Amino acid sequence: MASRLALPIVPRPRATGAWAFMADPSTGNIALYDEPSAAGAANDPNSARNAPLNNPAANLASLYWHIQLDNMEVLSDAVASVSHGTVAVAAAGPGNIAGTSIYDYSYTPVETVIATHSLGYLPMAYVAVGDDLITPGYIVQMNASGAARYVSAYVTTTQVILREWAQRGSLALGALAQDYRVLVIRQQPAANGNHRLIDWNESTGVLVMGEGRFDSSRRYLQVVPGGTPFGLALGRTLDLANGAVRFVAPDGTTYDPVPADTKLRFTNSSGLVTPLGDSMAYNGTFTGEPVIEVQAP
Amino acid sequence: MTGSFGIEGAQFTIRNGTRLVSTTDGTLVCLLPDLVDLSGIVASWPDPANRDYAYAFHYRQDRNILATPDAYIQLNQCQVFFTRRPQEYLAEQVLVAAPAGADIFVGTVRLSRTTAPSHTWLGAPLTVLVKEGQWMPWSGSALLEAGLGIARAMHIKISGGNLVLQRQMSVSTPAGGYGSYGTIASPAADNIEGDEILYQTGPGIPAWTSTSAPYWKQSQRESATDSPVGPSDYEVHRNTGSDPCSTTDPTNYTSTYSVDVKGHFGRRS
Repeated sequence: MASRLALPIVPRPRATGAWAFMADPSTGNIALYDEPSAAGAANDPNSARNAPLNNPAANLASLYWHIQLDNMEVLSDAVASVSHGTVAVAAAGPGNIAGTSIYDYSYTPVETVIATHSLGYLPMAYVAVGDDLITPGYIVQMNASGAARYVSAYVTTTQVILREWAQRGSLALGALAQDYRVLVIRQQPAANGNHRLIDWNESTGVLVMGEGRFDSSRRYLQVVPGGTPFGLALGRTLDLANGAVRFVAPDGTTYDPVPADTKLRFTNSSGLVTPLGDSMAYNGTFTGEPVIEVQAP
Repeated sequence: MTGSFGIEGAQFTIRNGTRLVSTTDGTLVCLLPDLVDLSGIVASWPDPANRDYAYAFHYRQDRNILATPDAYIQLNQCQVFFTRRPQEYLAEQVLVAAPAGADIFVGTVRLSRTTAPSHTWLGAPLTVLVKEGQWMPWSGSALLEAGLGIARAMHIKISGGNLVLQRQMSVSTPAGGYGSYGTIASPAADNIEGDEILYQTGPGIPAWTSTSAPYWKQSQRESATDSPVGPSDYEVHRNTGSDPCSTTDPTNYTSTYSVDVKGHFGRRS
C-alpha cells in the first residue's frame, strides 16, 4: 500500500500564555481555549482574555473545544455489502478512426441503497472502502486494459445511496463483492433546557455538557492515537493530463486507468495502414494532496 | 461503568469505560455552527480552445483499356473531421472566504448541468458521470465528464484562505495518420488510389465528423479518352477544389453547471 500523505497527529502548539476551561451560565457557553490576551479579569466571561468563550467564530484559532462547535457525532456505523456486476468491453471506435486499447464510458449507472436513516434532514455521511473515505468518483476496481469501476455516494432525507459507473476497456471487468462502511453524521442536537452545563454522572461515568449538546456516551469523529483511521481528503484526489485521469486515493494508492498503449489513428478509404499517434495515457506528475485521518472511537 | 474527564496542559480527555471518547490532544473536528449555503454557482468548462479540422480526401481512378477510347472512372471523396488540439486547462473561482483559523470544510455538493456539449465526442456523448440533482458528501475531486481523449474534473477545497472551486479540463495528444498515402499524383495512366489527411494549423483528436453533406461528399465521373488523367483533372472535393467539404465547425463542447454547496467550516483542535 502506498504511503498516505497524512497530516501528522500533533497537537497544535500551545500558546505560551494561559489557557482556560470556562462555562458561562448566562450564555450557556463552555469552552477550552488559549487566552488571546491577558486583558481583563480571569473570572469575567466577557473580558478580552475570555473572548473565545462567547465569540467562538471570531476566535477559532484560539479554541480547542467549544460547546457551539459541532464535533460530528457518528449516529450510525454499519457495513453494507454490494455485489457489483461485470463490466463489458468498450464499444468499437467510430468509422474512419481506429486504435489500440480504446476505452469508453458506460452511461448506465447502477445505484444501491447502502444505509437508511430517520433523521428527516440531509445528513453528512462518509462511506469507507478499506481505510479510505470515498470521494465523489473513487476507483474501487481496475484492470490493465482500461476498465475501471468508479463509485460515489449521495444522501437523501432517508437514505445513503451508492452510485457506480464504469470506464470500459479492451477486456471485461469482473464482478466484485465489496464492503462499504457507512458513517452517518448527526447534527448537534439542540440544548434540552435542563440548565445543566456540566453534568458528570459518577455512577455511569458519562459526562454531559451544554444541556445535552455534548454527551460522552456518543461517538464523535476524530483521530485517536492507536486506532485504525480512515483517510479523509482535504485537497484534490485526481488530476488530468493528456486527456486522461489519474486518481490518487486517500491511502496514497495511484490509479491510471488509461493504458499506455491507448493510441488513435485515422484510417483511409484506400485501406492503407496509417501510423498510430502517441500514447493517450496520463503523463502528469500528481502524487496526491494531504489527508487527515479520522475515526469514530 | 466508569469514566473520567480530565484537563491537563490545555488538553481535555474524556473517557467512557475503556473508550477514549474525545480528546483535544489530536484531531477533534470542531465545526462552526454557521451554515455555508451557496446556491446557483455557475461553473463552466469552455469548448477546448484549440479548434482545428482534419481534411480527408480520397481519389481513385479505374482505367478500362479494352474500351475504345480508354474509359476512366474517377472517384472523388472528401470528409472533414473537426478536431481539438492538445490542451491543459485549469481555472479557479473563489466561493467564499474561510474564517480565520479554519482548516477544514465539511459539506455536500449538488450540481446540475445546464449547458451540454452540442455534439458527441468520438461517437459517444459526454454524459455527466456523477449524480445530478442530489447532494453528494464532498471531499477531494470528481470526474464530471470524460471520453476517449478528453476529461473534465471539479475540485473543491480550502486554498489560500478561501473555499475554492477548480475547473480542470484536458485534451490528449493527436491521432496519427495525417499525411498522404497511396497515389494521388497527376497525371497517371492507370488505376490509382490514394488519400491525404491534412490539418489546418496542427494535428488533433478527431472529436466529430459526419457522413452527410456538407461534411462528406462524393462524386464520380466517367471519361472516354486515351490521354492519361489524374486527380488534377477531377478533384472537385479536394480542399482546394471547386466543391470542397465544409470546414465550418458546428461543434461546441462547452459544459456549464449550476453548483450548490452546503457545509460548515471548522478546525481540527
